[in-house]
Amino acid sequence: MRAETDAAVTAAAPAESFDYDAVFNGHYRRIARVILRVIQDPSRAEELAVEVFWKLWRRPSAQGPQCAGWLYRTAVRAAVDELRKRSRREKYERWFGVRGPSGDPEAAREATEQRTRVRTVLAALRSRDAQLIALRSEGLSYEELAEALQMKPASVGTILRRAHESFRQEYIRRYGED
Amino acid sequence: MEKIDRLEEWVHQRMAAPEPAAAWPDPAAGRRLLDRRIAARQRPLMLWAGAAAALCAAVLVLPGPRLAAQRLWDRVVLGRIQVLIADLDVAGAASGFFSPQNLRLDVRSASSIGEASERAGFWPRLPDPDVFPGSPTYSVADATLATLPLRTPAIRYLVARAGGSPGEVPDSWNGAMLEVRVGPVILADYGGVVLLQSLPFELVKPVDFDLELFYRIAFQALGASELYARSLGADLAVNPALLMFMPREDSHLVHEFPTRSGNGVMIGEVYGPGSKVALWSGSDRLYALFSGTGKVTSDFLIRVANTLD
Repeated sequence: MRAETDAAVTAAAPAESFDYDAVFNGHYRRIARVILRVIQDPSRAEELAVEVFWKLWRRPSAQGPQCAGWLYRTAVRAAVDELRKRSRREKYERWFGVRGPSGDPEAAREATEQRTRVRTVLAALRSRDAQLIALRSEGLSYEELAEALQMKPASVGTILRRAHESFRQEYIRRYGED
Repeated sequence: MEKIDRLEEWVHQRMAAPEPAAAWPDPAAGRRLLDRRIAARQRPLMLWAGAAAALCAAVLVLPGPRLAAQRLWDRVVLGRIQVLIADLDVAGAASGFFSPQNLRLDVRSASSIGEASERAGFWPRLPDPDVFPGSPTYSVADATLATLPLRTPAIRYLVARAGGSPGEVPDSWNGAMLEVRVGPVILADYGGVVLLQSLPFELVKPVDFDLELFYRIAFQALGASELYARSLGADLAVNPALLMFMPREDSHLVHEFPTRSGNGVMIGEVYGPGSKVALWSGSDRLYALFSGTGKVTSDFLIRVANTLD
């Protein structure tokens, strides 16, 4: 039997292996949408979602039956990190006058403004609160939230409520009761 | 109790704006992006992984006609492996110019350790059963030959790009052929963890080929200072090694570990997530211990390695 050296090594792989394709197909869309909730930028959300699965590919310790929690945790952290980077960048851009006045039509302006508000508020919250809100908004159950953010399931309701309250207060403080 | 109250609803209304289109995102597009990312990483890994497999090589006694031709050739035993770190593009190019790339092994199963040793020409050493219990299945990779044709212009380009002196690369190298004689290799498969072992392999080079210069230039191509490259080249000329090139971004995947007779190299993610290989030299042979998954730790591989001479 003629075989490349690779074949000798491939033969070492166990029959029982992590089904990466199934995990990707099962979670990619939701992961991207979680990220989108936070950063409100579809093309960047797709890039970050791919980055999350890339990290999973590289991290054997995350591959297993509990990988969903790891995926959501990694995704929402990446999203919040991205948001904070953007907030800093936008602040500096404003300081140095890099961004000129928007020329968007009115409808687009309103949508943009709403996205900006959400991003601004999330960026101002504690990281864990922002992560909780983003994941919950995408429909994760308390149990899934607990797994994703490594919290005690019994505490999720209380902490989530505090996070929502923080969001509301920060939003109203900045933009009033709209 | 899990319920959505007015506060949560208020937050959701704001978080939901604007909702993405129902079909967003396209998983197929995401998968294409991911595959490109993975492929971009795998390519350089595979380059030196192929070289790693060459470590499991032994030198066959050359057939008579070949021996007669040896008057024009030097034979240098390569008893170890040298991992060199470089930027991604340099590592890929250097691997092609300084390491044999076309190694292929014939792998055939053997019914017993006796048959494996008879075909390979040496008796395999096995790990201490207290450390690694189990009865392996055996196979043998027949002897083969890997070649490395030298291309002076390409090597000069690499050296110049790294800030070295391309004029040092001799004209006479162009078209010269280095050969690495490899195999046979005995493979002992412990159900997913495979021990490969061979006698040291051999570099066959033209008799006037300056091996020290070859190593020095390889280091210069990687951006080493002339002084440092000269020092390393001299060391390697005395104790030759097969060169493996590794992209800098993957350097965290390579770790040295102590063995009975020196140091070995542990390389992670050689063939995908969790896979790893330990490479080391024993007293009279070379070993590689592959694990295809993350279920076996590096520490375990090192313990196994240290039960072998």
